[in-house]
Amino acid sequence: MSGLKDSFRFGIRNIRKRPYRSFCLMLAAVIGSYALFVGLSLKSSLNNGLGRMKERMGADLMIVPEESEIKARNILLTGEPEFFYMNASVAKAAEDIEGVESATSQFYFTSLSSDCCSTRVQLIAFDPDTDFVIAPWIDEKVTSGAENGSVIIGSEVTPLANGKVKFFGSEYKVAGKLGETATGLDHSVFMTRDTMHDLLNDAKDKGYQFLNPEDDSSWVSTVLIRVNDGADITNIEKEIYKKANGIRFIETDKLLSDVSVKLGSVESIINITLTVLLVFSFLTMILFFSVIFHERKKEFAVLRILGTSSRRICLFSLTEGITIGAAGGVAGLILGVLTVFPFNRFIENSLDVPYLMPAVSLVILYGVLGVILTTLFGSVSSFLSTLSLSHAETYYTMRAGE
Amino acid sequence: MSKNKITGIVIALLGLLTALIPTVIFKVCAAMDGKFMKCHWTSQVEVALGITVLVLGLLIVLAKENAASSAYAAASAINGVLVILIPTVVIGVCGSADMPCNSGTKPALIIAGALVIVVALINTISYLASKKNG
Repeated sequence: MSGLKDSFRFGIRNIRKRPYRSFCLMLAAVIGSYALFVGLSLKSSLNNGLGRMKERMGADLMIVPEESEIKARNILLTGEPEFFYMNASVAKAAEDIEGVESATSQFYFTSLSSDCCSTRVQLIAFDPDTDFVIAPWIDEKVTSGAENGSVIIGSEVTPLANGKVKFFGSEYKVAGKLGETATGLDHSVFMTRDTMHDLLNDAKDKGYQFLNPEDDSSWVSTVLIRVNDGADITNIEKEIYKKANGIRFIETDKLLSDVSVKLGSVESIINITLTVLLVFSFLTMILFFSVIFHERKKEFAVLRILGTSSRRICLFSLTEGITIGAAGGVAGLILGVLTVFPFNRFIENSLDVPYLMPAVSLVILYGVLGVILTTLFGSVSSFLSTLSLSHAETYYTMRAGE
Repeated sequence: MSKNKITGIVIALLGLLTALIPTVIFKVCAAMDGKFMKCHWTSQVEVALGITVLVLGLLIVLAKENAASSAYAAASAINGVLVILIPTVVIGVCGSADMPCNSGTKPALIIAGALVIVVALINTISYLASKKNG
């Protein structure tokens, strides 16, 4: 036990005596641990985001105006506020078609940038009687549901200090908050058609007119359809086309597969970068340790002459390797935490794909994994370097260069 | 290289970083409809604070007395506190969490300010401890 303690002390003293050399070695470990933590956290957040998006896309089919497909995709994927309208008769066209389980319509408009949240927010009016998309995902209920004069906010929308939200000069009570969906819905505010009517009137008073408030019940922005299990979506689309013109369909499965493709390319970039950085970290540590230990050949030879066993010398260098690997691993983890957590939103906005941080326990596991791996890198590379020296005869080592 | 010189160089680099964060690395929001938002004014003050920290860092490098170095370090720590307070309390940034000033500039400035404080305090405290031990 005291032998181990002595080895540890000797190793630490060696590290402190050569700070620049130790710093360079530690830097390799920092890179390894940082890459592993950030890479795994990003990958996990992307997969988590896609999973949550799949889970929370309530509808199988969306009907939007012919020229507004991209705008509708933007609302769903990025939360970019948009508005577009089609005749409310389209909602009727989706009724009584075989294979359609339920259908509901929504109305899109936007707030002003100076209103509640500094930026424009997507405002969505829904029909509580037919809705199957919004209500199931209300996480925090304040009232029993969206009443007239109150709104439901997305997970990323922050209310005012008084707990209300302000649109077009009027304040509205928050009836509930949606759970995170990793979609544009996180940045949206939801309300009933009656509340929408009040908002449109306020907007008109302020000089912003989306549609004539007197006539708003004649228009919808989208019709969301849930189909029965095993129903033929193409057939349903054909049937609806027969009854309505100037429309386009967005299939949720297709939308998700497009997102998966984009996500796949981001993930491959992360995988390649992660592998390159981990290999670089390990090879640099092996190289550094072998060069350093080669320079310290005579030091080890003196220790051997003084009676220190080869095993003990091996233990000294192993301690150095473990300490440097672990310290670098912890430093890399701290840097990783300072990147992933404070810049979470920035990364999400930059990648432009569904992004949702995984559970804290999983993030902690990635951190521990990074530290263990760099400690392993440090110990293996120091051990291999010492092993290559242990074959040399002490006498010849001391006489070398004479 | 002495500990003071290393501290001075690190603080000077962090000062430079503080000035570059709102102007180059995580640029704050542009003017909207000809009006500047809060983050613009935060950016102006942070550039001034960053330059001050940079100069203090250089003074730490150039100082011949340990006492002078640690005094400059203490001044840097105070500036580090201001670097954090400007975007969080004193002026602030835009309200929406999605704005680049809120998602990028603010956390970056908080981290830079915290690093200035930590590095500067290590220098000052180690000087005070060495003085106490004679």
